[in-house]
Amino acid sequence: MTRKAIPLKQKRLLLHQMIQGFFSCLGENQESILFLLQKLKDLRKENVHRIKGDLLVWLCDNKKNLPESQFQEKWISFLDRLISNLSLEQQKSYSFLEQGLIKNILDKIAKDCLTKKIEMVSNLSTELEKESCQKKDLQSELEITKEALIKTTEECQSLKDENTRLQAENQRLSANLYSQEDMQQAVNDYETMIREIREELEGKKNYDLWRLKVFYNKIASITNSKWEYPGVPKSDMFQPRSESVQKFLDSLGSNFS
Amino acid sequence: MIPDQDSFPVPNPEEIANISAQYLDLVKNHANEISWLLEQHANLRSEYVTFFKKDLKEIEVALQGITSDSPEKSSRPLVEKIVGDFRRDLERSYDLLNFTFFWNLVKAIENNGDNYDQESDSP
Repeated sequence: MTRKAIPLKQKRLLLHQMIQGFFSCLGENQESILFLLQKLKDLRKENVHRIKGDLLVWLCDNKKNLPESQFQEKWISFLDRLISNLSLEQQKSYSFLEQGLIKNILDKIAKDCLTKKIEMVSNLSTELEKESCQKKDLQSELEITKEALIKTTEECQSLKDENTRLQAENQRLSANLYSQEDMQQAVNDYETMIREIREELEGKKNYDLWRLKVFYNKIASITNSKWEYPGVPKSDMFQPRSESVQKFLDSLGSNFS
Repeated sequence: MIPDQDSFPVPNPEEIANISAQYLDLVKNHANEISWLLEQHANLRSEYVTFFKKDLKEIEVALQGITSDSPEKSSRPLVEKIVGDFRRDLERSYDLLNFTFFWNLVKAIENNGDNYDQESDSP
């Protein structure tokens, strides 16, 4: 069965996390390791002390009781066996420590390390899940906001169109209003003109006979008459308020000047 | 053992900076543990030196007092045996501090989990 290769980036992250977990677990088990180190040291000290302080001292003390010729080989060999036996005896203590306590503490560190790793992965998984939920929520919110934005944009466009329409309508109404006002003024102007002409004809007032002449000439032109007003133009000019009357009078002036 | 960095492809400078930052952070966060481990190694070395300087010297002197022949002939094998035993026993303490199981695990991750059971490298 082929294993799926771990991507390099994840592998590095995993190694980093493993070493981190290991040091954390090591810190928590320092006391136990120190205890075991001390026990191993005690065994070594015991070994050296037994050789140096007990066996050799005992051998020196008994040297004088043995024949010189036999002493060396016999006792060196005996010492060698004693040292070997001492090592064998100590091996029981070493086995007890190594197979029992040391193995247990190392297994505990390994287990703690793996547990921490699993916890770390579990925490990462929880965080990932949380972030995933948050992302989903954010996406939902984004969708809602998007829809609201589209709706608002549409409403905004609609209001813009309405505003354009109302502005055009306003312009049209303003033009109408202006036209109405001008028409009203034109009526007033014509009434004034007629009243003044009437007053002139009735001899109540001297009107602008020149303009009256022009006016009559215009009428004569329209009616193909050769009649001319026999008056003398006066200098005072009638100033109409209405633009349409002004235009009318201007047209008269341009036609008959 | 510590993962062989040569087994990774050469990373780009940015990756090197990130990895260095990660490991420096690791050392910073676990300075006590690292110091403690090195201290224990130093203690073992001190014990080894003390054994040679003091205990072994005393043992050799005592053996010279017992044997009249040259030490090379009579007691040298015994001294070598004592030194061998001591070194073997000292190695047990080093084994306790080497955490072979952990480095095997790291090695297994480096190898994508292959051969973890067969892994027997020790630091």
